[in-house]
Amino acid sequence: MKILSNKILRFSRYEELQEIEVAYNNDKKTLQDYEKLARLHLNIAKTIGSIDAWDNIDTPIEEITRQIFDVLNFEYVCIGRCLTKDLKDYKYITSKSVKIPEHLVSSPIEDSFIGQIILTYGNREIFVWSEQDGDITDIKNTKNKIPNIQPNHIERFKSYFSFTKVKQFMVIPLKHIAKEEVIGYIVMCNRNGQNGLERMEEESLKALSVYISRCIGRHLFYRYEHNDTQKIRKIHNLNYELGIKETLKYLYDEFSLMLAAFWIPVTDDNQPCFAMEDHYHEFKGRKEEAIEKEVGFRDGKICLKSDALKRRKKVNWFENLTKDKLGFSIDIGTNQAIVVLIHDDNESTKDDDLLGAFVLYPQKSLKKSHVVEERIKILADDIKHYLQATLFDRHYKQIELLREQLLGVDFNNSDNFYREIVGLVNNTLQSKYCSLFFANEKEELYLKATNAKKFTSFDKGTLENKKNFIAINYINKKDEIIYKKNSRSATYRAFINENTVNIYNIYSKNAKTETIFCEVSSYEHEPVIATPIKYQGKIRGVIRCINKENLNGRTIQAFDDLDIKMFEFLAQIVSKFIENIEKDKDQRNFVNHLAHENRTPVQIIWNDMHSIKRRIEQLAPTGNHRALNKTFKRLRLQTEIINNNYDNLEAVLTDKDLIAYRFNKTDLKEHIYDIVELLEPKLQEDEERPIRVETQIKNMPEVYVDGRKIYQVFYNVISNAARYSTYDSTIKIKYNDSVEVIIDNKLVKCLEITVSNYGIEISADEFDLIFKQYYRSPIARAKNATGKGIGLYVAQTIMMKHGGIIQVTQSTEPTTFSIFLPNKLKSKSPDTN
Amino acid sequence: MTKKKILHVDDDRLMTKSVAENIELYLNDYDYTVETAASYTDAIKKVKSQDFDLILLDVMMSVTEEEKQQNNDLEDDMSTGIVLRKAINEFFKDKETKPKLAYFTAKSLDKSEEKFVDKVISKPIVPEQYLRIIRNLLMIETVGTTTY
Repeated sequence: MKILSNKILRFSRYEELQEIEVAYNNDKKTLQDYEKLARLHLNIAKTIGSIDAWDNIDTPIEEITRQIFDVLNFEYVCIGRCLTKDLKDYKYITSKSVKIPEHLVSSPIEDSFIGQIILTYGNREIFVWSEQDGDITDIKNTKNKIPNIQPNHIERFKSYFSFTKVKQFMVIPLKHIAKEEVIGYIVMCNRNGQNGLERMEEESLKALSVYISRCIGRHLFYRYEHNDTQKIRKIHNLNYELGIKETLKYLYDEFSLMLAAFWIPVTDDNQPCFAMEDHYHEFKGRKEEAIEKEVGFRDGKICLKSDALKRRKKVNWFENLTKDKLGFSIDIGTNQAIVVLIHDDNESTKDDDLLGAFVLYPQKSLKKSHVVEERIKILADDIKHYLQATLFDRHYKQIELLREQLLGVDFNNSDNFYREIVGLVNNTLQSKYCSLFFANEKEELYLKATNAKKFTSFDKGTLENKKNFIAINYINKKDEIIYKKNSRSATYRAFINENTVNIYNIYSKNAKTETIFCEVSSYEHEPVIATPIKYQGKIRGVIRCINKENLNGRTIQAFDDLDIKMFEFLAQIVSKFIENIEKDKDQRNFVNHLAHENRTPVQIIWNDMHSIKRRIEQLAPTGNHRALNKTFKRLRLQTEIINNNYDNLEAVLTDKDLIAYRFNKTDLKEHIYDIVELLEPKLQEDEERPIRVETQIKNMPEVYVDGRKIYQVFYNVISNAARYSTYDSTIKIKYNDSVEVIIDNKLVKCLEITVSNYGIEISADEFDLIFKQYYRSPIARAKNATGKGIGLYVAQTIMMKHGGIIQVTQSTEPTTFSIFLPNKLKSKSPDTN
Repeated sequence: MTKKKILHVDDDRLMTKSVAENIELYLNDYDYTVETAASYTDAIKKVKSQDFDLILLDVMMSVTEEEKQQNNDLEDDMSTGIVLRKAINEFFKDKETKPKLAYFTAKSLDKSEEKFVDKVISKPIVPEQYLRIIRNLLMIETVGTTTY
């Protein structure tokens, strides 16, 4: 006690109490500050926690701004974002005494005061300026001035401080957590009653900035993704070309670009390169003109796209590019480009699968940003799906269109067929002209068909037309050779190298082609694509398209890789059709030829038989020649059968109007008598029980028919009767005048010649069948194995051509066939001549 | 009685022989001579150097490369007779008397071609028939000259 009281006495109690009070007050103030800051943290955490990703972020940011403003007692607080050129304020709070100049956060970024600070010094954690020192310094590190501060900035700060009532200026960059990238900022000015921040406050604000960054970052991410998805969804409803245009415009706006472009792969003469499908920019006047001229084509080897391909990344950011690397020879006001490769398949980065490349030219000032890259990457995936869908759609539509059109082509008219085929390929590929070349035996090409009227020969040296050709003089003329052997033309190379040749511009001096036979057109720039036509394992010709039609506002005037795929597919289909046509034609020619070749020996045999007969008559004028005559008749019948077989075959294969019918005055009676006489050996096969023929045809008038063909009809019907007759029966051939028959749903007055015989009955369901090609009734097959079911079919075909018909008029014995010839054939009429 | 002269143009010599034999054996009411020509060149030569009353023309006849070079119309074997017919018509264009012309062929002809000749005889045809046609063609000629 004593010691204690001594001590108390020893010191001045007042002083002691004063000290304690000061300490207490300090602690109290510190505690208050702590409490204040803790409450701030808590409130901000609450606010951040309550933010829904899809909500408008403005209200919570305003709340945070107000809390900082209130608690830390600043005259001005602002939270904004700086992802694009627009430094956008989420919210700012200011007391009335501080006037914030408009240009503090104005756009574009290089013109805004804060923009410059953030972009230049944004890698620092927190920086504070004050005019107190008369210099621009980071007051927390007075000795450590901001390195490399730009002189013009110092001037601007000075004028800024003198112009406004701002005395202190603090910036806390908001950084993307993972990537250390500035995505926003907190700006604070003029702290009331205090000079800058306490250490504790500074630490506290740093921690807060992390929260806020996270909040804004995540929000932006969702916002962007949401916006992008919405936009691309809208684009999905558009066609390919419009969709690309819209996408470019969107990218242009969203990323504040100088120019947005879409390039597609084009294989020019086996060398990969790119052609511009579309672009978007807002340059005016001359510059625009220059770009229109400039963009279009880049050599695949030196262009950015090929650099990007080498990197094999989805999004490739190129910085510090030189003028020629940008893809333009003129200045478009930037030195960086973002190349976004759109591959057909997610995993693959093979060149083959490249659907195209977006090339975005951002402003010079845009720093390479992971956030932007990330966003573009996600956007690119959306776009890829759109491109896949529309391209598939486009292909599908083209194939569908082709299929429909092919069904409408008349394959029987071969001249027309080729003209239709070129027109069809032309439509499907959306080209201006299409021509088809066929090769002759010497591997030279001649023009088979084209939809062009005129051709020209062009001198690439002088850029002048050398010679004009009128298409019609060359079509289907085997001796008018257009591409001789060793021709350097694209068309001939496609033929000889058996692959597709695609040339971006045949008039270009660099194009490896001669321009000796080109369709005349008004375009300056002429892309050409040629692919071989192959069938039966051999290259037979080349199909070539020239000039892409400018449909749907399409910018690209070249055949792209998808066109090549499409064209090769088309060529395959066309080849198949041509193969069928040519095969058919070859077959007909072969049969025609064979029939012709066959007639000569038959003629000579008949001549010689005739001579022999005469000579024997001369040698033995009184002899009995009955047996000999029979032999001659048999011989004649057999040669006639050979002959008729070929005639039938020819009629079957050439029943498509290939051979015109000739209507001449014909005596059918003579034909019938001839045939009956000719068939005599057959009728008397069994000499004991011969088959007799009765004719009642004396009144039959002469008619205008194709005599040879009608002979064939009678021969086929009567020889049929002879073949299926039972021995010792009678075949009756009768003529009836004026009978009415329904032919083609019309009642027609006809002459009727009936042929009836005893042998086989025909069942009712076979009435029509027996006139079908290769049909033979089961009974007929059992009775006679030599028939081939051709005769009646041929006879019917010939009768149709005469406007007549053959019918079974009695199916029970005697089986009766009626040949009906229209009455009008009795007189010579204009349409039958 | 004037001798009737027939020129039969066909590259198949067996054909011309057998036809000539039949004419000789059967058409003995007149005095006929049958000349034959087996090629385009041969035929032209004979037409230009001799007078004929009737010329029978085959259509499909083989053509040599040399002939093709001399005459651009001779593309292939398919229409040699038609080219020949044109040449003959051209040759007799301004002549007073012209021989009768007939195709004797297995090939189907265009209708337009038929009007340039007096008759088209299609092979194969039984000898009786073509002999009758030949005789008729020459008889009309005879009647014509008598009236004249």
